[in-house]
Amino acid sequence: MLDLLAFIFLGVLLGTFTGLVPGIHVNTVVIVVIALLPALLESFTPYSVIALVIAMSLVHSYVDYIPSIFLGAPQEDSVLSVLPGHRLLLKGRGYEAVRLTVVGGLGATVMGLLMLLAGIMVLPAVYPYVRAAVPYLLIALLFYIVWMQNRGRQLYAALAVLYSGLLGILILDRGIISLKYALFPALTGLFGVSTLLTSLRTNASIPPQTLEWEPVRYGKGVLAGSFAGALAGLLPSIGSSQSATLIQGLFGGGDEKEFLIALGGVNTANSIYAFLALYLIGRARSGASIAVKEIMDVLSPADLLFMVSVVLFTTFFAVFITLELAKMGALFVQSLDYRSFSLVIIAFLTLLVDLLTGWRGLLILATASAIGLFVQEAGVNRSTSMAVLIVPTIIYFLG
Amino acid sequence: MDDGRMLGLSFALSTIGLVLLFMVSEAQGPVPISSLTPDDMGSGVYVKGTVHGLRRSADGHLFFVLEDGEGRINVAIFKGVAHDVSCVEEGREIALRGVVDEYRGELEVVPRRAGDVEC
Repeated sequence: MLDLLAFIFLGVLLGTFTGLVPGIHVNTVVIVVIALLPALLESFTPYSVIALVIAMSLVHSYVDYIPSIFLGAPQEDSVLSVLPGHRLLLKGRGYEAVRLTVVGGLGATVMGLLMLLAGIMVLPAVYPYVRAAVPYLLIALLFYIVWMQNRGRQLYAALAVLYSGLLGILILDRGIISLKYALFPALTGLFGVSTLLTSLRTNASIPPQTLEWEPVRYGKGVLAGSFAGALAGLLPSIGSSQSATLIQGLFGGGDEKEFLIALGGVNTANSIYAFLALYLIGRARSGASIAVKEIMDVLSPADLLFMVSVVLFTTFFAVFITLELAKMGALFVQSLDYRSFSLVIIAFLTLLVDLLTGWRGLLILATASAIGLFVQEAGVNRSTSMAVLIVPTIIYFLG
Repeated sequence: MDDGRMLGLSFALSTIGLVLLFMVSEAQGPVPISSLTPDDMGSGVYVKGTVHGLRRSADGHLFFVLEDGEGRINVAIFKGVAHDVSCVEEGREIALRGVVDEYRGELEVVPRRAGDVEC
């Protein structure tokens, strides 16, 4: 029992680390865990190692909104939160932005458990049909984004889809840099650096941050986030971001708070359902769930119950740590000169891209930043750039 | 700089960047098989090696192991693509592009078009 608790706490610490540091995904640590598996399983029970992986993955899914919102430095799972999160930060509500994603995550945890029974009964029968429909849903989504979300600017939006999609194909299909880090420079450029550069141009400043929040209706965000996250967790090649773009149409451009709740829900539901998929359809859908499958190939109902228990136990720590770190982050950024802060963050992200991916990564970062700037200057909806993930996913499904 | 110029400049830089990235992708060689990890699942890779354990299933799928001296990985070419691939032979050195997937706990590469297999 003691080693189980120790492994959960280690997972919480590692998940906090991977969530906070841009460019370090939870899968990076999972690879180390898989490499160490034989040694770990000699000394500890398989359940302890599974608990570590689940705790790490779950905490990461909450914490990774902090750099995304406060620094404009997103990871693949949190990329769409940069824009509404940054807007709230510039209104003095950075803490509230993170808190909304936490509310979404908590709601998705509850919804995930409620939907589990239905999933066990229905999913195996409908799964092949849902999988077959995915590429057509994504194609329809791209048309929807271009025509409905960019009225009067469809030509620019189509160019943004074309350029972002080409970038996605070049980095994901052609293996220009290690695939482990391929999305980091692209997403940092499209959504992070370009946003910071525009803020610099417009002389934006960070006002004093409040730790208060306004009541918000969360039902729609939690429902949409849970459903989209479950899709992302169960289907191959569909990540939190593609799934979140699918539901973004529901919220339009105005309801940024509900959208942040939905994003929090997507990320956490994706993280949870990637593990539940092991039981429901017998497939691994994330790096972390591959590790669990390596440890225990066939899962029993008791194993499923164990995984759910770890999720519930870890959720408390994930929520507590994320909210405390967000408070510290809010108090920290308000004391900074925004112009210098933005320049330091851009330099930091550029250095990180250089360290992780070399000159090719820098070329991807520069290209993605230029596309991100083009999208902003053209007045196109920023989620149009999600074509960087959606186009390669459509190609994957249609072969 | 006014907004119109910024729009033009960002578009020009985007175009130049994409062209350069395309040139880099055309100029580069295959990745070492040993560098592939579960993190690469769902992504495309370009690998080169020797064909071992070639077998064709009753349904027309092709399965073999690709070895490059440092590592080995399963390759699955499903019948829709395998139908147009005739140059894969036991012991032959080939290069292929494909998507990294996982089957029964092991990584595999799945080419999606006949043109992805270069003999």
